[in-house]
Amino acid sequence: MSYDAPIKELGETYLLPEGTTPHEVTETISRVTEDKTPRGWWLLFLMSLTALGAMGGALTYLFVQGVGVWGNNAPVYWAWDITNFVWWIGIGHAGTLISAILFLFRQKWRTSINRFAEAMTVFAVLCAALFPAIHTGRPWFDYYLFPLPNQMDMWPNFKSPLMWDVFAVNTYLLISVIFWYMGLIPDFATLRDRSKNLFRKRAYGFFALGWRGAHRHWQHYERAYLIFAGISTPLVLSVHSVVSFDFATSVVPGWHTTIFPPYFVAGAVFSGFALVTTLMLICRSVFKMQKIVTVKHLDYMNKFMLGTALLVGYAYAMEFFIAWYSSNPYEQWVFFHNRLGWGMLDSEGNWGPLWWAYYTMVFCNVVVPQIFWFKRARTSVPIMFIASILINIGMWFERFVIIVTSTYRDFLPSAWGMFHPTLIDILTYLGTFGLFFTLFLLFIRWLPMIAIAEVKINLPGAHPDLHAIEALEEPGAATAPVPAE
Amino acid sequence: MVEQAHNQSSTKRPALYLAEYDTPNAIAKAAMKVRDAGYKKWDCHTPYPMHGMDEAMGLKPTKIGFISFFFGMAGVATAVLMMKYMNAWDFNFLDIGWGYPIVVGGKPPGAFPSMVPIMFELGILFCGFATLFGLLGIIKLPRHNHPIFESERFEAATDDKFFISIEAGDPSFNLDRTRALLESTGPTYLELIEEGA
Amino acid sequence: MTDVKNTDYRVGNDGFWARAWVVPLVLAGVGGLMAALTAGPERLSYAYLFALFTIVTVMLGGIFLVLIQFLTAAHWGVSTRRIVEVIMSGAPVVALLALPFIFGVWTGKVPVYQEWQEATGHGAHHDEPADEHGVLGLAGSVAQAQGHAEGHEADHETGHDEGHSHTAQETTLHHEIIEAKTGYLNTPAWTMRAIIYLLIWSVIAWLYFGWSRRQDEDHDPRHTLRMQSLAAPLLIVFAGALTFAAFDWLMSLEPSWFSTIFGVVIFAGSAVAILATTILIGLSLYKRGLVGEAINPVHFHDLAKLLFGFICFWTYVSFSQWMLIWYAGIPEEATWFHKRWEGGWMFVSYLLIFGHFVAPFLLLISRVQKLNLRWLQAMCFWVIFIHAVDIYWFVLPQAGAFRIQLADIGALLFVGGVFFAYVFWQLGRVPLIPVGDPRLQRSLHHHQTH
Repeated sequence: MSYDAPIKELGETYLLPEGTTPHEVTETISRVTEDKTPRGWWLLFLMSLTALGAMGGALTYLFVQGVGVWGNNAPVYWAWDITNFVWWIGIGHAGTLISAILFLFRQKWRTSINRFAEAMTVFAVLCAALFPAIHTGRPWFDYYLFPLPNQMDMWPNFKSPLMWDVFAVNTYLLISVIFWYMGLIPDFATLRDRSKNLFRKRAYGFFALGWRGAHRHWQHYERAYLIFAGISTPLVLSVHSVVSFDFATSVVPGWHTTIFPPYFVAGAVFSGFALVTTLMLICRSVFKMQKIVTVKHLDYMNKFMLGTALLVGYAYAMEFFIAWYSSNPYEQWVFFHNRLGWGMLDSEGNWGPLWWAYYTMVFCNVVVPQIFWFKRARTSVPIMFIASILINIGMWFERFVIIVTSTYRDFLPSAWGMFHPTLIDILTYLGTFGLFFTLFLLFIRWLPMIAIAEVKINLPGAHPDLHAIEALEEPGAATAPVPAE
Repeated sequence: MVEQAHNQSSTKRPALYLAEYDTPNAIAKAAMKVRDAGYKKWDCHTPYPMHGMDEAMGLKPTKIGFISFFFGMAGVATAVLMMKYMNAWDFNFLDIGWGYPIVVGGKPPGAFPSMVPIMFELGILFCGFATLFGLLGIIKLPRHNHPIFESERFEAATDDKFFISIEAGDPSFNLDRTRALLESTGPTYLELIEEGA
Repeated sequence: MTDVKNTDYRVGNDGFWARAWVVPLVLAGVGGLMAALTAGPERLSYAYLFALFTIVTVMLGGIFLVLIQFLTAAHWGVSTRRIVEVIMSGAPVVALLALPFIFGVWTGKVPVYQEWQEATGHGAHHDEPADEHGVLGLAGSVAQAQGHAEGHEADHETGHDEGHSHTAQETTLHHEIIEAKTGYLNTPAWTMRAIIYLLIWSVIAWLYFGWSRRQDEDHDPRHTLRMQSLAAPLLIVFAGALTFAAFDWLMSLEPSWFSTIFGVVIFAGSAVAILATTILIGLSLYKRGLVGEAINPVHFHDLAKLLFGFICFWTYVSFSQWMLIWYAGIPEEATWFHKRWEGGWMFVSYLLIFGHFVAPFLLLISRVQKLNLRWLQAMCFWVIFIHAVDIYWFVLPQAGAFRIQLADIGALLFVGGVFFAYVFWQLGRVPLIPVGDPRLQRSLHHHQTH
């Protein structure tokens, strides 16, 4: 144990404040689900429900009228839909990254944020999945997407990257849900055992599956957890890679580039981390969890955002360099005219009118996170709060830039056009926030928002020191009084 | 300390001994003793997975990985068969509808590269479900009724206390000797739990 | 676990390791002769590039592994870090080995980059806007590329298709595409960049190796702090140098071809190479009892898991590159893979799929396999071999049909021999684990949680 003690000379400190007891952890986290509902929660919940209702209206109108109510027209199709789909699913990636990849890399600090982020994953993927489901305006035909035997003898075309998406997103949703649930089982048991009234005991007890913390269970449970982490890691890479394949398998300049898969994954993790930070900062101060989500945790998260920002910046740079290096005039056109709005003017001597989207993206995604080189910024709540929101805006614009600026002025000037979202588009997007926050607020209120059992693993002295015990036993073994039987 | 039912006419019979400990070192030490005494049907109950307890309890490594691997591979195989049937081969399997070759984008019907993503996804999907259900199968949950829940003290097992339980079904179980053994490990609390017949 | 004081962690008089450097040095001599005597200048250039880049990737992997460990302040790898550091410290040796190649390119004696080097000569148009001739250039390039492939089919017995005739217009247009790149691809710029890359790597390697060695003596934790804070900016510099070195040295062999993920693919291969090499050297030291229990199966298991992970990562990026180019089917891109499919190369491509992914995936997935040190050793030998095949597959298809020549093996023996002679010699001089690192104790008593 002593070897794990922080080394002062290196500036190491304990992850959680010294003297935190397991009981305090249980108390702090469980209390949120047991105390009276705060008034602020109701306020937010009503706001979310309102947004959700607005989306209901927008969708009803869409289903009645058809996709004509969207700004969905030549030459830019489904720009709004796809941007939001990719944005939401990208946000989901942080949860899996924190629960799986950081677990594999033994980043202990993950335990204070993983449950929270996993919940975000599930809700964000649900929001994302909404868009493909409604994109034809006829959701009752969604079963076409699945390989179901039907009266038409019609099978999906598995060579379409959109079909890969169907499998990737659904697998991701299902695996995220069961991974999340598996992590929740011991915590359901904690809530069950703390329950004062029968209904709560029954409800939490039902989901706890009769968990009794037996080590013979923990042993298999831990390995299963490892396997889930092991399969979720490639899964999370594959999901955004498959999303990137939707673009990259085409021959559209600006879309067809080989770095898209890892670039999309890095961007997804980046935006997800940003949203985790935004929400965590709020919950942390509202529910007084500063002792469990410490400044040190926030520091790590900001370092992570800086790292992923650099990866994303690397991909931007590669795209630009190769666009020039390819000496493909269409590729160069998309990057220099449509995106940068510089270096290549159209026949009327104009810049690409959407240059501002590209600059917003680069500013928010590459320039803003550079502030995290400074420790003062990494540990300042207001700075990271603003930065994380800017990053989310930037990541939305990244998808917008990719989708719109690649297609609105492409090969043939006579086919050029412009993309304008309609009110219904915007309402639908706002509505997904309603869906997300409704689910999220319910989660915060009724489920342990931090993994109770996992946080306890990292408390100092949480594990027996077998060597010390054996060392104590051996010399004493001969002289120890044998219990009289 | 020990509550014991002396009422002979009662239909209750002993189910397990439950010993409570305060520290990880105490339970690990106790577990070693129980292990060395040769018990089989006994367990440690901790609020979180405690490292080193496999060794302290003398447990064999888990085999759940084999289940996951096997079903993962089965998922990959399922994906290949599904895509080949629906997009490349030409026959009707069990009258679910004819499979037929589809040529899109100038690629051969059964082209391998475009099958990889779905092979991967189905592999993961099968593996994930197999792991969850494999886990529940191995640890025999859900089981909501267990005599151990009779104890009020046991509610702390999911908070901050550590327990050892030795079941009456164990061949070496003996009301007196097992109790003596547990007492010698210095528990902070010891209880015999009984269940109705 | 053995107490730290039991051994000084030095090679000392060990029967093998005290004189281990002789073996690669002899091999280098034999290989050098083999290569020099059996091949002409052109083939020798390709063979040398292949050998050089294989070793470059091992060294680059080393720099990466050291920097990333400091970046994450990891303790698990402290006790194996010295092996990686020693390999990394070979950067100046690599630079020396690269000098003849760079000099050859500069003077035109090494003809591997002829296609763009000659384009520089008559680059009359290259500062015009690309769109004026670019469209025609593409069409011409495509025609040339297809002709290229047909050439392979037609005479893959003789292997070389340079003689295949294109129409004069096709050739001109293909050249125009390349001329447009001469702002980047020209001999002076290439030479200067190559020297910069080698300088960057050498400086990083010597700084970190030097600090780590000094810490052996003074046990000062401030070295660790300095190395931690410099790791992030240096990783950025390192990533840039690796990417553009991959573009300059490998991608520009086919100057009309481009791929944005290329640098990442090379990086993935480098990580695989260094992990396998580290495990092999570590296993040998461990088995001969030179490191006591300071490096033990737990550490090998950790490295093996990373190796497994990076094999999967290599597969992921390689597959992405291949599948996207296959799917889009744009001839100017597909031609690069076409060259690696025709003329006997199909076998090597399949070998990479099975040898660099399927086999190691199935044979290293279980912890039982990874914890069996003999098994692990065999797998690492295989992985290093297949990594060399990977680099071979990047370089040699540009020289024509698949035919392994003595020169290829000789060149690899020469470059690898000189490099590992240095590595083994250096291992004999320094403590085999970083004895002054403040996290060493934690690494020695590192228990796996999973």
